[in-house]
Formats: sequence, C-alpha cells, structure tokens
Amino acid sequence: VNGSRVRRAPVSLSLTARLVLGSGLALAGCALALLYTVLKEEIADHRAALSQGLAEEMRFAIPAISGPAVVGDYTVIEQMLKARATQPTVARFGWTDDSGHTVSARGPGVETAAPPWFVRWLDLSSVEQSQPVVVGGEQYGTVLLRLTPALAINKLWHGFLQKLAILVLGAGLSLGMTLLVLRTGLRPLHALAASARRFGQGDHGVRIPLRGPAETAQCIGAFNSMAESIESLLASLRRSEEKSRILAMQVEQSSDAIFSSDLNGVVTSWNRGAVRLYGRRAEEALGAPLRELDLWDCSKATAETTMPCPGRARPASFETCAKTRSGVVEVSVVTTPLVDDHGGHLGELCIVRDISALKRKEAAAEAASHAKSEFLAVMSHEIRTPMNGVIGMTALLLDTELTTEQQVYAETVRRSGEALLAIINDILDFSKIEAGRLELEPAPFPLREAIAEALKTLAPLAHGKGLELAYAIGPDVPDDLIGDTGRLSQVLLNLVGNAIKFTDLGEVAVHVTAETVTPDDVTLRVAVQDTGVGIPADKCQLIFEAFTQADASITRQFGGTGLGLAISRRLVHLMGGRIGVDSHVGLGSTFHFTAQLRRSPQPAPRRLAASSRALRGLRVLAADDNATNRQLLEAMLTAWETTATVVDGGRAALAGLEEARRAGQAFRLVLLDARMPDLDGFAVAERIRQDPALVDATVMLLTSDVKTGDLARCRNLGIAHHLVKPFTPSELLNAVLLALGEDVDATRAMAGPAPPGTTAHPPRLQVLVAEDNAVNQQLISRLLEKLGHGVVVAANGQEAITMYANRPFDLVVMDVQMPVMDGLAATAAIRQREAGHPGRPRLPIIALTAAAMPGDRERCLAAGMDDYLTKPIKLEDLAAMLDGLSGRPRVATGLATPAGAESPGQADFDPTAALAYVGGDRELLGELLTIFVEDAPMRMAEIRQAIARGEAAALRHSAHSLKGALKVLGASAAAGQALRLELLGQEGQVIGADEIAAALDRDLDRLLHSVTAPKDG
Amino acid sequence: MKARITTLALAVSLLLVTGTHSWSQSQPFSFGVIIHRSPTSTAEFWNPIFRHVSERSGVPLRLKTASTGSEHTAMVRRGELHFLYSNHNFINENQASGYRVFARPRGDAGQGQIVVLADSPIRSLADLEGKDVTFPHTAAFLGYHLTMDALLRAGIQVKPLFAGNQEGAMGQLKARRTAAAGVSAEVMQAFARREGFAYRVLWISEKYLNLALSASPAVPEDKVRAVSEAFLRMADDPGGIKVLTASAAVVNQTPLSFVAATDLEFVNMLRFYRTTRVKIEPQ
Repeated sequence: VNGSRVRRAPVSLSLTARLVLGSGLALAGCALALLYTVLKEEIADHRAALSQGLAEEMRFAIPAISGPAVVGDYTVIEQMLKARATQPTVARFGWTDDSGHTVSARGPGVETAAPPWFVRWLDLSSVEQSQPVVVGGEQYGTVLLRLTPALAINKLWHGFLQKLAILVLGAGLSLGMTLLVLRTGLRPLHALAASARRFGQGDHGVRIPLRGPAETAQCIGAFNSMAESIESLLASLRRSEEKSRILAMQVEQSSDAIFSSDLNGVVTSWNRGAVRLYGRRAEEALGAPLRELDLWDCSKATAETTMPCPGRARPASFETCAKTRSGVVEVSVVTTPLVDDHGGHLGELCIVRDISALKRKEAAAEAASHAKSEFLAVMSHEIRTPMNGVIGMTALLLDTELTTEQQVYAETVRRSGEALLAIINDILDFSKIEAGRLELEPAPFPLREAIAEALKTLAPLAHGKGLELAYAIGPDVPDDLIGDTGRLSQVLLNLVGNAIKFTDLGEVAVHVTAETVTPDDVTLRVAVQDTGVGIPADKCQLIFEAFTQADASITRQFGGTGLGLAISRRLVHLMGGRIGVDSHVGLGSTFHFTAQLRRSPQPAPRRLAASSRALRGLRVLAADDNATNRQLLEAMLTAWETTATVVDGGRAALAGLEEARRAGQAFRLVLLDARMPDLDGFAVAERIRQDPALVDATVMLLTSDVKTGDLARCRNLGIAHHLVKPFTPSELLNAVLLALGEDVDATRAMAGPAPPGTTAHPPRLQVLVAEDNAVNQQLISRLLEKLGHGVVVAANGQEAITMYANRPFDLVVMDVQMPVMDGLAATAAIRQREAGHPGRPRLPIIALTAAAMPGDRERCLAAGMDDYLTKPIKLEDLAAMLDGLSGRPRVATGLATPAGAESPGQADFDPTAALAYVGGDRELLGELLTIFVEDAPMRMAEIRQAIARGEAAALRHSAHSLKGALKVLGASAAAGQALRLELLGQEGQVIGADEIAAALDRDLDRLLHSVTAPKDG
Repeated sequence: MKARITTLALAVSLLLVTGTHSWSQSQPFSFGVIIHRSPTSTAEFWNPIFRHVSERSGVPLRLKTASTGSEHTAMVRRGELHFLYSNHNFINENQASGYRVFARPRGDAGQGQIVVLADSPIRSLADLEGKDVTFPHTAAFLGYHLTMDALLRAGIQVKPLFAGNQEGAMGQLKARRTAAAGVSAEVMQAFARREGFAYRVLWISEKYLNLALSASPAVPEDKVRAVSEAFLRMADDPGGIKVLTASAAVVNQTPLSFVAATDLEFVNMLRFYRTTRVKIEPQ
C-alpha cells in the first residue's frame, strides 16, 4: 500500500510443465499449419480434378453424342447420358436439340458427410459446362454437364479426420516421450539441487556421482569441479587468512615501528612498535597527517637511497634521527610504496627501527676492526722488514765469492726465507680476504705475455723434475685486457705450482680459452692440467677450504700451508669467476677457474717488440710431441702469418721435410722439440744437416731442460738457436728473427721498448734513501749502486728533509713507516718546500711499503709520492721503477755494470741479454761461452779465408753463423758487422768485406777478452 | 351440309396450301445419304455441300442419315427421303419408291473382279471350289454382289469370308490367308501397285455405274431442277469447288464433282438386282 509492497512472484511453472506446454503448443501449431497446408493443396487438387473431369467428360461426350445427334437417335443419346450420369461426380447430364427437345439424366446424388462449417471452409462448388454439338457446320443441339463436389468434400473430410488423428497421436506420443525423458533426466538434477543445498549449508565435501544424460552429467561435472574449486579456494582463503592473521600479529607485535599512510599522507595503520617508539597511541596517530607527527629528522637522513621525507612514492632506505618518547635516537627508516595488484599507488608503508644500540656496537666493532687492521699492518711491516733483510742480504751474499759449502748454506737460507715469506704472504692475504679488505687493482696488461711470464718463473721447477710445462691460449682470446694481473698470476702460479708439486712424470699444461667474449668484456677460462697423483672425489671440494689439504700426509710430504687454494678461490670470486677441479686418482687433475676481465681499448704495454712482418709467408715446420706445445706453436706461427706445418714427432718432421722438398716448397725454418720419443730434435737436425737439399733450412731447437753437452751438439749440428720452454711469443719471435739473421734491434726500435741490456744504461742518479732499518739501508744502497746510482742514506723522515734541503737529489726512496717522522709526513714536507720554490724541479719520491693493507698506495700518492715499491724489494722492480720515473724503458733484470764502471761497448759481452736468452741458466751460459770462445776464432778464420778466396756463399754462411752467436751474447755491434758481411755474401760480393772483417775481428778480440776475463763478482 | 362440306373443303385446302407453302418455305428437304461412313463423318462431308446447294438452289436441304444400311434401305423403300445419294433405290425391292436419277458423281463405271496371286496354282473359278474366298462385306456391289453372283452362276461353292472393306480383302490375299478375293477392279489395281505385288484376274464383271443423286417423285420438279443445277454447277463455281475440296479433305478422298444423269445409265444395275442369285441383305 505504501509502495514497499512486495511484488508477488509470478506463478512458477515446473520445467516439465513448461516443456510439455511449450512442446504441445509448438506441436499443435505445427500440426495445424501442416494440416492447413495439406488441406489447401488437396482442395486445390480436387478443384482442379473437378474441372479436369468436367472437361474430359465433355471431350468424350461431344463426339459420342454427335453421331446419334446427326442421325436423330435420341434413344441412343438418352442411354448414353444415363450411362455417363452413373458416375458419382455427375449431378446432371443433359442434351437439348435445336428444337428445344431435351433429354437428360441425373447423377447418383452423393450425400455430403462433412459438417457445414467444413463445407463452407472448403469453398468447393459444383462445376457446370454446356457445349453445342456442331457437325459439318450444322448445330444439332447442346450438351450440358454439371459435376458435384460432394465426393471431393467427403474425401477431404475423411482425410482431414485421418490427418488430425495422426497429428494428435504424434503429439501425444511426443509429449509422452518428453515427459518420460524429462523424468529420467531430471532425477540427477534433483540430486544436483539437493547437493547444492547441502553445499550451501556448509557441506563442502558433497560430490555427486556422474550419471544421467550427457548434459546433466556435464552439469554434475561442472558442479563437482566448482565444488572442488570453492573448497580449494576456501582452504586457500583460510590459509591466507591465517597467514594474514599471523602477519598482522607479527606486524602488530613487531618491535619495529610499522605504520602506513594513504595517498594524502594520512596515517592508516600504527602498530605497537610505533606506540612504543614514539609514545603515541594508535588513536592519536591514526587519521593524523604523517608530516605533522614529525617522525624523523629529514635533514639528517643518510643512506644509499635517501628519501627522508614521508609521502613520496619511491622506496627509500636511510638512517636518521627520530624524536621518540625516550628522546632523540638514531633510527633506520625503510619506506615502501603500497601498490595494488594493478600497480595503482595506495600509499606508503614505513618501518622505523631504533638502531641506536646497533650503532653503538657498530662503532665498537669498527674501532676493533681498525685496531686489528692497524695491528695487521704493523705486524706485516714488522715481519716483512726483517724478512726483507734476510732474503735481500742472502741474495747479495750469494753474489759474493763463497765456498761451495757457504754457497749451499746461503742458498738454503734464501730458499727458507722465501718459503717463510710465501707463508707469511699467504697468511696476510688470507687475513685480508677474510677481513674483506682485499681489493683488486685492475690495470691494462697483455694476457699472453703475462701468462708466459708467470709460467716462466716455474719453468725451472718443472724442468728440474723432468716435467714438460706447456701452455696454450686460444686464438679467439683477446690479448689486451684490464685486470689485476698480479692476482691473476698468483692464482695461476698457485695452481701450476701445485700441479708441479704433485706430478712426478708427464706434463703440466695450461689451457686458456674464452668462455664469452663481448666488445667490452671477456670471461677467461684457465685450466691447469697435470698428470700427477690426482685427488679423490670426496676431497675435491674440501681442498678449497682454508688450512685443508687432500691428505694430512700431503702436508708432511709436500709442505705448504694449505692456504693457496683457499686464497685462489677467494681471488677468483673477487674476479667474478669460479674455481673447480676434475680429478682422477692416479691419472691427474685439472684445476680450472674463470675470471671476468674487461677488454682494454688500447693495446697494453708489452715486451713483444719485434715486428713479425719479416716472417710473413715464411714456410715453417714445427715438431713437438706435446699437443699443448703444438697448439701454442701453431697459434704463434699463424699469428705471425707464416705458412706453418706442425707435426707431432721427429719422423713426421722428416717426412714433412721430404715432401716439401719434392714439392719444391722447402721449409725455410724448422723448429724442433729436443726431446721427442720417436726421433729427438738432435737426430732430426742431424738428418737435415746430412741432406744437401735441406742445408738451407734454419733449424731451431726448443727444449724444456738443458743438459750438459746439448749446446755443443747444437753447434755441431748447425742449429741456429736454442730456446728454453716455456717462452713468450716475443721471445720466440726474437729468437726466430735472430736465427734467420733479421735485425731484431731495428724492428724493436720501431715497435717499442728495447729488451734488457740492449740499450745504453741510464745516467747515474743521486738517490736519497730514507730508511730506518740498517739492513734495508744497506740492501737498498747496494742495489742502487749495482744499478750505477749514487746513494745517500737518511735514518728517518726528518733527516731526509734536512738532506733534501742541503743538497740536490734526483730521486728519493722513502720508507713509509719510520721513527721521528714517517715517510708520508716527510714527503708532505718536501712537497711543501717545493711549492715554496716554483723554479725547483719536482723531486720524484718512491715509497717503500709493506703493502699489507689496501689503500697504502693511495695514501702514498695522496701524500705526494709518485710511486711505491713493496718490500722485499727486488732489483728488477727497483730498476723498472727508476726507468719509469726517468721516462725510459723499464729494465727487466738487474745484473748491471757496477756504478762508475765504464759503460760497455756494443761489441762487449752482455751477460744480461745472454742470460735472458738462455732462460737464466747460468750453467748453460757458461757452457755457451766456452763454446763461443772455441768457435768464434774458427768462424772468423773462415770469413777471412772466404774473403781471400772470393767465396761469397762461404762468406755468407760463416758470417751468418757467427752473427747468431754474437746476438746471443748481446754483442749487437759485432753482430751488426757480421750481418753486413752476410749481406755482402748474399749479394755475391766480397768487395769491401776486408774492412768490415777487420772491424769485426777487433770487436771479437775485445769480446773474447771480456768473456774470458775472471769474474769480479 | 354442303356449306359444311365446302367449309371443310376450304379449310382442308387452306390447310394444304398453308401446309405446302409452309413445307416448301421453312421445312428443309431431307437428303438421305448411303451409309458408307459414320454418321458424324457423313455429316461433316455432306453438310457443307448441302448448305452450298441450299444457298445456290434456294431449296433448303437437310442431311438425313440412318444408323444402319437396312434402316437407310427402309427409308428409301418408304420414300420418306426427298433426295438420295445412294444406290439402294436400284435394289429390286426399292424400285417401287420411284426415285428418279438426276445426277451422278463424275467418274468411270466400276468393275468387280475375282483375283488370285500371280503365282497361285488356281487357274480358273472352278479351282475355287470349296476354297476360302474373301470379300469386302455383304453390301459391296462390285466386290461381293457381282463376284458372288458370278460364282453362284458358275455353280461354284466357296467358303465366303468378309474382311470389312476392299483393302482388307486384298490384304488377306497378299498374306496368302485366302485363296482368292472379290474386289473392285479399280481399287485392286491401285492397292497392288502401292504394295508391290502381282495378281491374276480369274473373273471380271461388266462395267457398272454405282451411286446416283435421285429425287423423290414427291419433290416438286422445280425444286429438283434447282437442286440438280446447283449440284452440277458446283465444279464450276469457285465457292462450290472450295466446299467440295474441304469435304473431300475431311474423308481424305478426291473431291467429288457431279454430272447430270438419268435412270437409263443405271439400267444394268437395275437388271442385275432383278436377276441376281445373291441374297441381298438389307444394309
């Protein structure tokens, strides 16, 4: 009544009733339509049939009546009419002649059985036709025929009743079947409804067996599936609610202040931690603008991601001060934007933690750590300083005249010292790594040179055990890289050193490949493969742990701290790589590591100086039984654009030579491994020497160990050069060029810095050494003197400043830690004084540090120093440093002429170069010199004889041979004379050779004199 | 009484005059036609001709056909037909009706023949004794009346068979289903030529004119003359030729034309019927 009346639900018919009603109506509609259509067609048919019957009857009657009509025989006509009128369709059949005389017959008069409404609906009426009978143009009368539709009406009525009955029966059957099917089909639906009710009442486990028709079964299946989903969803919801509850509880009960704000910066949640921290109750905070609560000091925020002020939509983490109920405390703040599932910004979540206690602990820990670092630095300095003295002085001692016994003792002291230093270095490295204070110092470096140089230091160790030490670097590995070459070498040396240590027979091979190469970076993979004792599988990971070795007995047998691999592992990690080992006991091990290095856009400084252009297209045969060495040789020779053939043995080399000779493409250069199982290098060289067709080939011998008498054999076999493995590419290139008679010096001059001992020594410098330790004072002074420089010693920084003020120096070597005044302060004072005298040149200052802690170098440089040296000081490093500061190429080794000595002439013996050529093997060098002393006069005699006889070829050969020997000894001037003679011989001339030979003879005399002169220490 | 008789006589005279006039003016003269075809075909053939003759002669004519030959004969015998196109009036029994010939169809007189196939072993009528001889039908003057009369006069008894018409009898002969056939000589010649077979004539009759246009003695002479002239002029009148041609097309025969004739030209037929040994059955 008042408008809120509940509208009564419409009468709801059951599905069955709807289906029956709907189907019934549809069927009735269809039936009526069908009936109507059929009846209409039948009516039309009957109407047409009636008309057709009328026409046909007339067509038959007219000719039939014509005859009797002509004759005038009406009896016949009457009989005929009566006979035709017996048909049920005929109503009347009549004949009227011209005179009006009529004869007619009536039909049987069929009664209409249909009800009047049906007859009316049919609209079928009688049909009638009258037609004159004309024969030969004369009309004799008229025939009249009328047909009645009664029969058709009766047929249609009966047909209608039959069809109606069939349709009613069909509809009945159809509805009956529908009811039957529905009753069986609805039964599962009833069950479904009951189950749905139960489900709705909370019985979520209810399921319905699949039965009934497919559609119903599909519904049941869908219900079951839905029930499963809902049940699972509910379970998930419960879990989620539980999780949320726990989370909410955790948030609420967290000791941190956790609160959130909406987009307007209004606080929307405030946990107990916030209540505790800020002393504000939730009722006070909720709904208040975050800014008004003054929760932290925005101005004091410090962090990696600073966002001190609330209300921003970016995550932030910072530390600041907060005004709490207990006063201003240090807090860490983390703010995170709250976003919905679609990324829409909802507000901000803040977590504020009181870190004042933590900060106090951190400060204490920092102080402890600093103290520890200081202690470490002091200890490092205090240990290294005496160690420097022990090792350095022992080295100096070994350079003096000693008895054999003394020599042995001194060597033992040196080795023990170096071993102790290595252990100390390991421990210090490890300590630094553990303290997280080890940092890499990346710098551009040439990879191949670095690897070769590193391995070179271990070559004597390997060769001493009769092991092959080889390395191969993939051609796709870029050479110019940026990395901490010292640390890279440290890892490599550790692994190679271990490999040599644990291998008694076979080889140690290093393979360097590139895992990935991009224009900017490269990931190196270095594998050190040995044929040693191997490691059990269960120890493979253990060995990388600190103070651990595979077997305790190993420590006893091989020594070592067990820190090497642990340090290597951490260094490799620092270089962004990983380290591992594959090993089989008794077969050997492969240690491998990766390192990520940047590529250098500029070529790194390298020793390789000689140009390989002279070798372009040179036909070279190389033979080595070691696959790694073959790889290396092939890579080098290919890089120099030679036409190289690399074979795996002596016999294969001979076969290759023979084949090339037959093909008319003889090898110009032959590189032979000295020790090959089938036919060694000496045997191959001998065959070559015996074969006149191969005599033009230049033969070089590559060996891992030099045995007594080898050099003599080389000489006898005409081997042009003898190179000890491992060698760097530049060493091989230089040796090859030398063997081929190319001018190495000239090419070096073009390409870069000269090798040691081949240039004039640097000028004498006045060096101020500030060092408090007397041993070190003596050592550094001795080294500098060896390098030909003058030395003045100061005991501390103060003395150094005084001396600096009194006299000019070219260089200062300054210890960093000294009593009275340390090196940094002294340097600062010197720089300050320099600043007061603008015209005075800047004095180079080199720091001496223990290099125990990172940042030493920076501190030194920051104090105004130019470079630094790490104790214990090595002569090479000192020399290189001096060269660097004076703008000259660095000197690699230091057996220089003593200070004040006459600078050696070019024709003189250069022991540095000679020693470098023989791989530092003094014994070998001695042997070589003995041979040279015997051989050189003979070659000189041959030269003179060839000139006298005018034999250019002999001149070329002898001069070439002598030139090679002179080059080895570093006598470049004499070698140059020999080269000139060789060139004359090559041109087929001897004119002018006398003068050159005379000069060469003089140089040779002086050389022989210097070589054979007694060693003065 | 006299007056009454006079009145009666006047009335009768008036009636007679009126009746005669009426008959002569409105009642058409009946024209009986021999039944050779169905009444309908007969009407289709003759009605246009009679309409033409009526128009030309001014004498209304109306076809009168009978259902059967005997009925036609009876009509002739009773003299109830004013004009005739028939030969039934020559039959002995009908000659008393007094019909007088005034015209006949143009054409030669016909002959009856008894024929066998050329290769037949029958050489004479005597050889036909006891044999099957096929005739058209019992009313056929040339094919049956004349030929059967000859056989009967020769004392030869044959087994007569009737084929229905002339060519039916000839077809039986050609198919060797009969020993001989009685036929019209003219029709036989045409049939043999068309069918391509040879035959041999055992006997042939003299020539007879067959059908004639005759008038009842009850018809006034002027009417007869007018009608006769109209018939005779048809062949010269374009309208008449058109009618004759159309009628001939209805029955598929050559158009008729008529020539004047008298009873004398049919004497041999009158004589034949008076003397024939064949029993002439009413048609």
